[in-house]
Amino acid sequence: MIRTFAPTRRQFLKLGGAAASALAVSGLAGRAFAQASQYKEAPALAEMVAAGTLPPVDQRLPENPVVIEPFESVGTYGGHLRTGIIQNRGFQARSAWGPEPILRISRDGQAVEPNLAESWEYTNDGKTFVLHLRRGIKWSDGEPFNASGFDFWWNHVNLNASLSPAPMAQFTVQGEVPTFEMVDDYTVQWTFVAPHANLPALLAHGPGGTIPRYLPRHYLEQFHADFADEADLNGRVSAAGFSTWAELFNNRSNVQWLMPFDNPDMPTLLPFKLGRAMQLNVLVADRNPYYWKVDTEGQQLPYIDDVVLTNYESGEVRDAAVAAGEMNWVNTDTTFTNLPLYREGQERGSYAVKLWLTDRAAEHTIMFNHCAKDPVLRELYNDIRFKRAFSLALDRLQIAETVYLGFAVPSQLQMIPGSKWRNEDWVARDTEYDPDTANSLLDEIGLTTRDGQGIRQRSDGKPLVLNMDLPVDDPGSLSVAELIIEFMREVGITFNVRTIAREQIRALIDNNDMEVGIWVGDKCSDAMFPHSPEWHVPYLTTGWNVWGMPWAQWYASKGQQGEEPQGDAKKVQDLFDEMQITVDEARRLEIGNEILELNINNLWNIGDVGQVPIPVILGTNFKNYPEEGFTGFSWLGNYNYHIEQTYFEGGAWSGERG
Amino acid sequence: MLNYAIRRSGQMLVTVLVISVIAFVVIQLPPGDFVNSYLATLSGGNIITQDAIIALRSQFGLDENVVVQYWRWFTNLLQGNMGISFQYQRTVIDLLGERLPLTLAITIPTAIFVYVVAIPIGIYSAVRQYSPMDYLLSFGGFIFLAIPNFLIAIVAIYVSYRYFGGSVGGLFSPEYELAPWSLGKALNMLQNMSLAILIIGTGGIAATMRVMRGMLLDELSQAYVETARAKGLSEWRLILKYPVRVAVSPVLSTIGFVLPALISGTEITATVLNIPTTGPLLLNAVRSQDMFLAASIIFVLSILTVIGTFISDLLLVWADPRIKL
Repeated sequence: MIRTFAPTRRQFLKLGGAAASALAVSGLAGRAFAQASQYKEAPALAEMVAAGTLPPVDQRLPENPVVIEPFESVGTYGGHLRTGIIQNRGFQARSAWGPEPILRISRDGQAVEPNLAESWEYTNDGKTFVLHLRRGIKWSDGEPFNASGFDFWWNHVNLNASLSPAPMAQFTVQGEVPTFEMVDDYTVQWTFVAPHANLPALLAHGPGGTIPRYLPRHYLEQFHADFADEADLNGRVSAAGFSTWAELFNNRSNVQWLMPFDNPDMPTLLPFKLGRAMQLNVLVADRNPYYWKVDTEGQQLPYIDDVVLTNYESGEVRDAAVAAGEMNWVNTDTTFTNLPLYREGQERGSYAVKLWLTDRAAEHTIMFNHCAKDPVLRELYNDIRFKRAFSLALDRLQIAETVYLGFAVPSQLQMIPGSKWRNEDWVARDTEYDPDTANSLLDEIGLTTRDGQGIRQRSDGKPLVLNMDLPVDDPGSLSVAELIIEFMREVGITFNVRTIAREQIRALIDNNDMEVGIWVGDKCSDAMFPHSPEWHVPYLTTGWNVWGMPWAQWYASKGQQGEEPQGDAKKVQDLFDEMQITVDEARRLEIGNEILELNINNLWNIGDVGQVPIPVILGTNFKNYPEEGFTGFSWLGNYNYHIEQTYFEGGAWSGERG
Repeated sequence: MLNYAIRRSGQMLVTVLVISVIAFVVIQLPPGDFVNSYLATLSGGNIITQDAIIALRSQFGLDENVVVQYWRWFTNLLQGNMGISFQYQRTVIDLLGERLPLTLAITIPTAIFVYVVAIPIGIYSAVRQYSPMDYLLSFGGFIFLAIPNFLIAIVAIYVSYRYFGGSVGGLFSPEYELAPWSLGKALNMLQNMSLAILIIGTGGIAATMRVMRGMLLDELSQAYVETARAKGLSEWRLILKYPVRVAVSPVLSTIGFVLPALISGTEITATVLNIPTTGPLLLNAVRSQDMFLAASIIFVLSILTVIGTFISDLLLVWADPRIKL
């Protein structure tokens, strides 16, 4: 509401006098005035303010801090979040204290909402994407956050060949790099060759992004060749033991694994800042005193004091530690098959095991290599009857019983429940156990001759042997693979399973040497499918799409490498292209459905069972987290549940020792 | 003596060089390279673009041929620059420096523990052959020899968790983890370390004990032992001065291998006990083809091995007067 304010001289003088005396009084009142502030802070921070080592909370928070509605109840300060990772793979802990992306995924996982940016829009026929940043946010060292951080990142990191040999692919449309402009201190924009419809979702997520798209230039310029004095910089580089400034820059800006792991001096916008880098397998992140969010009662977040993260040298050791009650927040890389172990330790360990869902529409996708080098197999794998036969020969209920203790539902690799693209018919198609139809389909193809043991023979006389390679350290897929061997024997196919080290699987896929592959059927969520449909479109050369890697290579290299897909496979790539520049929601819904329909008609991926829950370990008095939820890479863990508003009832975890 | 030392030094140099070449090549033999394993560890779907992969390869120098890579690494090594670990994004020296003190703090007491316990037990076992004690010790020896260290570690962890509610592995129990140093914290660390030392040491004790016993039994039946007894020497004095000196040579000749074992001899057990020594560091480096880290550690190990064998040989000469340089 706008009212024009036109005071008379007397009113103006009165107002001015009142204002002046108010200021004088406040100056005199000093500390008393500060205590009457509208925001509250953690006791530890209040002590620091009293001691004069930290500015008062009103000055640390922006003028209009983001208000977070607590999930259940307003919290109390205190407690340690204890979590663990395996073999130093830091991204597993990604949502233990972050991330804080420019835009964020909403709590229900379906929409994109403001975060560091308070709004965005498309102008210029949709070709220009404009971001309006929130004002008043400060970095963890008190310096202001504004558009210059974007300018630094775009012009001096993203486009700097020593740091990024190629500009970030998420910002390209049809392969073209956009132009960037910093309009003013709080507005930035990119101009593309066509509307970048997926950009808001990508800004909320960050696949492939090890660098957040803004950086604290006031800290990092000293490590950058464009700004620092050359002699100084070289001195710093050799003092740290590196050989190039790029290595030093990467180390100091904590680019690894999307998480601040190495450098406590690097300013951050996350609720916790690195206090002690990983030392003898333990890392600590302390509360960020400049965190820019409050709860509905004006208490500065986060409630929890710090995050203690332990690195375990192997998964089994971490599972044992979970069962011994050493952690109160674990929700990545837990093994479902260890559920009895987790449950056993619940009481003594003061934690509860929740069963959440993931972004896996099917726990595994079994993929036949449609570009297999062997011509006989190649023809078979491209025949829909063969794939349908394979799918019908799988006793999915037995897989659910044996491997997943009954917690699974037969499912093709489509979309997860709750998705706007979910189609129950497609999910269930050819998932019934019907070896008779499978046998007749295989006969129809012409695989009628069998040898002495009943194994069908190929058209060239050799026995029909399918070779599947899988990673040696994945017990889930190995169990399923072993069951498949049995199922295949029923229909006269020899199924050969080879376990190899994960590191070698990559090489096999890249050289198109893998015949049958198996992987987790993830990324089937609304948050990821539009921009990264790895299983449904052959576009990604660095993924695990055994079913069409040469097609993906052809797509990515624009015809220089790989093999051109024919028919439906090509169509699905075209649809993917269209999705990337279509902003209209109705049309996006249609495109997604078309892609998924082509997938179910071709069965490029054969799913086994879906809705397998993932054990999530949470302390018994850990509050403000949902009882049932989703966690997985689609949501970068589960950051949409706002870790910053979680707390321990009573101010500490009930399972704390000592 | 001096001639011998010079000749040996020359041999050691050549050996170390050859080992460094072999290690460097072997680490890269499996198909693919570190970038592959880096991608492989991103299970859960972090997507990297093709351009980023090319970038990573060139950043790590993986797109050049092996000879160039080796040469570059080796020349840097001679200047004291061991390179960067791709996995940790820190310098190798940094990583080793962080873990070495703890590693030595565990392995040195273990080595001492092993020899101090094994040799006397072996001697006793031989002298009092077929006594009940001998049977007991031999039986225990066989059991610990047969059971792998990591299995003992797993059982220990399980027992500690199940029956004592103890913390699982690690150097400190959770309540002392972040606390400042104090008597309680130091005692807690010693407690956890003792368990580790015990577990790691048992296998070594068993082997050494059996060797000692076998060799000494051979010697005790020799004529000179009878002669010494006849001449009136007291039993223990005579045994320690003569047959033991001969019997201990196999033990002494392998003492040299203790040196490299001090750095990396605990890979699997430390992994299970979650103690951050250099053992798991090497294991993970080799698995993920983190080549500078792996090659540098192996290089250090090979130097320690050749020095260790040299020391062994000197000890042998000192112990057994029949051996001439």
